[in-house]
Amino acid sequence: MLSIQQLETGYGESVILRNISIRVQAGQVVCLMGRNGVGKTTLLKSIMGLLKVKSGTITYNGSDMKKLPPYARAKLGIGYVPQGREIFGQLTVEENLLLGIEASRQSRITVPKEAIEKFPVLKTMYARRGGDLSGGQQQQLAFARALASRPDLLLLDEPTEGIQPSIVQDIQDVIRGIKTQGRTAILLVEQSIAFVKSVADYYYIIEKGTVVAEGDIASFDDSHVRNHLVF
Amino acid sequence: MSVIMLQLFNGVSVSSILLLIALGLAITFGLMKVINMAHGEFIMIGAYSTYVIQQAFTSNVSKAGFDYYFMFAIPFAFLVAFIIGLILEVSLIRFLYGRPLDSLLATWGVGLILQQLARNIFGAPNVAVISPEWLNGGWEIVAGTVLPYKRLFIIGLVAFCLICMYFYIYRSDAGRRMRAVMQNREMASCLGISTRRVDMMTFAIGSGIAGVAGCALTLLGSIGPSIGTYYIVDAFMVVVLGGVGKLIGTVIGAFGIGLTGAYLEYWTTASLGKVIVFAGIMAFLQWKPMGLVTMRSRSLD
Repeated sequence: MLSIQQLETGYGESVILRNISIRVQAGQVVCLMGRNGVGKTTLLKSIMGLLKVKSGTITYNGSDMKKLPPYARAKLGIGYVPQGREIFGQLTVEENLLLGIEASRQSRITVPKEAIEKFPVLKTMYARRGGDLSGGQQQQLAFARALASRPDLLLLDEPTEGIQPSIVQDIQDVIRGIKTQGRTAILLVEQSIAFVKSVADYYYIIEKGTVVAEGDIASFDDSHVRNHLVF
Repeated sequence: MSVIMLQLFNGVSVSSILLLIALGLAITFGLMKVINMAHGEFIMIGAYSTYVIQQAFTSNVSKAGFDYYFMFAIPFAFLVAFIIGLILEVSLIRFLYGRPLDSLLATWGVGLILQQLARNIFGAPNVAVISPEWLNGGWEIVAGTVLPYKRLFIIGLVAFCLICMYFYIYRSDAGRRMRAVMQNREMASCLGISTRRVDMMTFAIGSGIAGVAGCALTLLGSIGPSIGTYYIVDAFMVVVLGGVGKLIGTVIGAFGIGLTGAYLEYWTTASLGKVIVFAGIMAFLQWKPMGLVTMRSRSLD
């Protein structure tokens, strides 16, 4: 459903991604791995349309969306949980969730149940401002907000970074649940190798802005860790 | 006693006018961070729209119908300023987001162009808008103390605008989208909100409210092409003092300036009162540069 071919992007003059190609199929969980600074976040941002593509193609369900602005891509069914959560701090939790349904193709006026039933703690703080929540709560809110529009493809940028173990567990359970339902494909940036091994179908390892290894998760072993992920 | 009460009424009256001219700016400057020097010219556009409606009523409608022209003039002034604001956003402002100094210069230029345009169309001398009959006179609460209907009407109009804006910004879907875009443009876009449309609508509404302010100003005196320049400084003062980004800040800012001004001018002289108010604002902003109402939360730390 998502296919990226020979993509090149960067910030201004500096090139971050060069000649990168990845594919995500419907219902699949694909994991991006690599050290800090190799361009994983940059890749997600260019899929979402936040960064201009210098060359290459981004095809989604058969059509090129390289020229579309982010809101048009969101309406095509792409949900995004960014690094740093990006909650609207001055808006209430409920308003944040309602903004999540902006992209949904059906018209709704209330927060869909499936978005919050996975994070029941959010229901107890509907009237609080997003900015007053703790980091872990904000992460859950960002996740629920992305689920509210029932996306076909979910981009998750380190959803468990800097979060207490019990909430990490919750979030990992939610990702597993989405995978079991099989309706939503996930492109996941994640550092926990154990979790990746347990949930992913396919992996890409990125180094210096390009893919250096890829394959079914079964073929992922310690040599990859040694060569690409440790120091 | 009655003098203090009268000054209170004067203060509230001045405050309501300050608030009306600052409300639109609270959106274009407070929310969108565009230093819109042409804001005064949108007031002028609203005032001339009222003049046009009045002329149309004078020549086409009977004397009895004329009295109701003002009820048409208010939405018409909003609409004209709204449309011109929309055109300005699409043709110029959208290239200037995040460039405050450029937006200051460019909108100042636009203001000069609009002033000259008004001179070409309506002539350089001021024109008078005749107030409808039912707004003449006043309400005599005690003997010798009269509250003019015009001032009361403006206070009511401001309250109406304020309530409409409150519901639009804080209670409607469009307002929620607007606040989301103003807080975090990229993330709002990633959620499927058309940031372009929100920008256009927001700027146009801010301009439209300036138009309503212009309409109200026609009740207080004659209008001219440069009417907006008298009010632009006060409008910025109100928004900056109130703290950008919050409607309640603008309300407090307007009443703070209006009420202290009214009493100080009574106790000293008109010009000295103004000097004290502005000096007070400057001192206050040294102490609290963010203004009276600031937004605070973990996310901004």
